[in-house]
Amino acid sequence: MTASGRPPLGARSMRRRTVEDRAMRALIWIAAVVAVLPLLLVLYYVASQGLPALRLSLFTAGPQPVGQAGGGIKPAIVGSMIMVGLGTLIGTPIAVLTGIYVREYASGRAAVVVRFLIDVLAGVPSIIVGLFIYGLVVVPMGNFSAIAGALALAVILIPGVARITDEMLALVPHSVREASYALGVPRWKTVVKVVVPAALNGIVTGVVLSVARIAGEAAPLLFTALGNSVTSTALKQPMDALPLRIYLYASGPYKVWHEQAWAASLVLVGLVLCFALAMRLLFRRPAFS
Amino acid sequence: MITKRRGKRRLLALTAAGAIASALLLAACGGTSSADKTATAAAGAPGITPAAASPVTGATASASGSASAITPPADVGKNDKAQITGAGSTALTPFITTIADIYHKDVAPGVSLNYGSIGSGGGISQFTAKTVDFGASDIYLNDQQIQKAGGAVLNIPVIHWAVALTYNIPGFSAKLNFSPDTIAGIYLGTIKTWDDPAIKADNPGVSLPSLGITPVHRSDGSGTTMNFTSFLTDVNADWKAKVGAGLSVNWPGGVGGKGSEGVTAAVSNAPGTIGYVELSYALQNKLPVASVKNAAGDFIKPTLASTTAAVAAQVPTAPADLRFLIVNPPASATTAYPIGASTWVLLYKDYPASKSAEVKAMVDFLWWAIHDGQKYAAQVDYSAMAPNLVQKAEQALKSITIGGQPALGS
Repeated sequence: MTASGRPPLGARSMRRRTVEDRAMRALIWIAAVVAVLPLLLVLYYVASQGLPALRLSLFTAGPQPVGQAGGGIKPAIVGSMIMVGLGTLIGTPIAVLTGIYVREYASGRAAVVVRFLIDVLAGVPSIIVGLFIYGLVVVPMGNFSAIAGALALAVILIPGVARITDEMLALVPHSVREASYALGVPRWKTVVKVVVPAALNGIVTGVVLSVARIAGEAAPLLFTALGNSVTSTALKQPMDALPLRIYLYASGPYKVWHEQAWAASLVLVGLVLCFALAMRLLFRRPAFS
Repeated sequence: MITKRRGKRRLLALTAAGAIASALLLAACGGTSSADKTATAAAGAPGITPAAASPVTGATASASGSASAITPPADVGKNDKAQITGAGSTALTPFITTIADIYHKDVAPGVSLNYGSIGSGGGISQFTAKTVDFGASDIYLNDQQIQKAGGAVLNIPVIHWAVALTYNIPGFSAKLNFSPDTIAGIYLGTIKTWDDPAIKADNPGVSLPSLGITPVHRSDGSGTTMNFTSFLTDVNADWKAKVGAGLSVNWPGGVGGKGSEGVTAAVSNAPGTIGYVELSYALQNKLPVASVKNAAGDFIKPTLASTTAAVAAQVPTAPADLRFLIVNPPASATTAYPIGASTWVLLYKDYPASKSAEVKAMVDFLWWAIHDGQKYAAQVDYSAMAPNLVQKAEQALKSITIGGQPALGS
């Protein structure tokens, strides 16, 4: 080999490059696996601990008197579905409308102020939201209630969905709005029929993420819904929820509680996954193609 | 055109989702509180049956004999329909959830009790905030607390029990004895290992490991803590000077557990720990309990009999307002366990008519609880109320009114 100049692209160099390429690919692949690993481990661990305790009575029975074997978590499953559903129904319209206002209607200063306030609300710890609703709803009503729990969950849901709606609307190109205006479509109709549909996928993703979050919240329910050992669908009465049950059972001394806490975790993860999947299927088509 | 069609599809999907959601909401709104029939059926199998001979049966008879005008039967609430919400003492939880289940199955199918096991401190504050139908506390309300409650308050005792010292020493199966000073020393942090001379002196001939002691106390406001620290304050000058008695005190060391459940879990999970809990928590979780030296100088194991002996020694002197403690009974009670406790339900004397269904069902349930309900106490290791105390509790329950009308049996 001569002292000057690069060697020609020989077979050896080619091999080196191939090795480098493979090594980097492997690294990237490993990084991807490491990123997904916690999710898989959580799913695996919850499933392996929860499956053995999964039996029909879990879904059909309420908790037994403390210290006795058997019983189930029906009040918690029913309660979680009602309160998360109600919280989503209350919170989503407010949040989406807030997002639309901030992106499409608010003047510069108003948008900055509202956005800042939404961010502050998103930063409020969920336990504080619970205490806020306790003071605002529970004490004046004179009872712990499902309504109070749902309101606390709605307050937690609002900032996330509002911010995502705002961001998703920002992604819709201005040319689309202009095209609509050019056709003589009024502003409100442009927003409702053109802009929001274009951003719908992103907004739905935001709602799914926020619902998953509130479904797993125990703190805001401690002093609003209180929990209930009886299956109750009355909105003005205390109501149970899966995270509350898991919190109570996991910190308790009884073996049957630990088993049911794992089973309840599995049910919670399953419900959230099912909901996310259902929403994905329902809103599968891309907005722009 | 294409966009429009897609838009329509999306709109359809949204409408469908909305319809499902609102159907759910409607179902939720329309439904009323319903007792869980399936749960009841499943729960029917394991047999908890009333004790054949109960000291309370006699009490009921004598009470009804001496009571003034009308003394309703124990099952006065059998036709009630309501969901009652109570909260407080975790020491009460095993007993009240057991008897509420029986009451629902055998006496009043329309009544279900939701009991929030949040600790006596929480029970007192939720009662005062009027967010629950009744509060439950292992210590009666003092005058200052009653003033804060905003209304005439009744402290009604419903059950007695023992504060048991439970511990976790791996591979150790001998019975442990503690003198009060040793317990104070452990919780003050002056006794640091299980083979400390003070513990050895209480347990001659027992080989103890040189394992560190971790005392576990309640992290929340707790009536169990109140009774436990009242006992230590009574018997140990050092404790009285440094810590004192209260629902929550300034612990010199150790770790905290939330509720009786949390303390029991901490002790069963961590070697070297010692904790104080209501007896049934230790027994249900198969944890050992220590014997404690009483005023007579004997080491007494916490049992039904030794707690009942403590109750018998202390309760006859209970004042009419039903505020008393049963810790450290006098030396004359030779078989009494020294750290006994009681749980009170906290009630207002008068309730507004707006809550009449719940209040009536609650008073009827408590009436049953202090009579027939006491028969089930022994099965979960609680001590039934003494006859003269039942009589005093009867008078208190009879005095409760809803909008000026007597609540009981109305």
